[in-house]
Amino acid sequence: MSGEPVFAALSDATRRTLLTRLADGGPATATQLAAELPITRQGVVKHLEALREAQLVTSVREGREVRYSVTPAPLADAVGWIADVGGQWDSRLAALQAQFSQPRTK
Amino acid sequence: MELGKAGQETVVIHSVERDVLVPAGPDEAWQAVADPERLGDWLGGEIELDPVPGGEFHISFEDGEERSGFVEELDPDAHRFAFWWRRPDDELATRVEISLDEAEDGTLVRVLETSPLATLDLVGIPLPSRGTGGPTALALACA
Repeated sequence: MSGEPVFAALSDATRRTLLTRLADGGPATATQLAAELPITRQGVVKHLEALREAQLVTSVREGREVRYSVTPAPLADAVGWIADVGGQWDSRLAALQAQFSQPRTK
Repeated sequence: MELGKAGQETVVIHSVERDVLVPAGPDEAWQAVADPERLGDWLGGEIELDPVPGGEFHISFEDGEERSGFVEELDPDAHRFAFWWRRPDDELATRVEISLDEAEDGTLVRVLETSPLATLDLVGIPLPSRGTGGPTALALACA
């Protein structure tokens, strides 16, 4: 498998569950997450660490606990991404159609 | 920052979906996806890939841009190809899924590119609609 931390972080169902929970339910500590999900606290900490290394979550120390939250990204980036990527696929799919309108010799 | 309601099953992630009808049966249309040379022709670059789950994927675009990633699935029976790619300076990879649907007068080729990570902060914040290119709510667990 690839050594990319983001790929690796998302390839695991438990980590996706944790990420979804943090996105939907807001910031939480490992103890809270372990209480809500069928994962041991030790397991939660290990997976959160992988998510943090991939910069998908950030952590803030609060007393004896560490609170995790999903990494924010600017809204404008998302809108720009949708416009850029949509335009790219429009061109590519036009090229795909062209492949079929000029039949290849068999 | 406002986040979605607790207990929600899904998160909003940004995605782009497009489709096009090609005048060919599904098996013939699939060749334009499964054959790296034909795929590269319409994606606009030269492709190298290892067609197994986790196999490397690389494309060199005609304008010099390079993207690499890996194959998630290349399934000739289901006519589905999913891969992840990113530019060398991108922090986040995006997932592309190409799938085929038989239609009355040809085959509908669908493309879905999703960025499951960068928009997690958008949970609960509606994006402006952009027709078929608008954001789609998807379960992250399925991403």
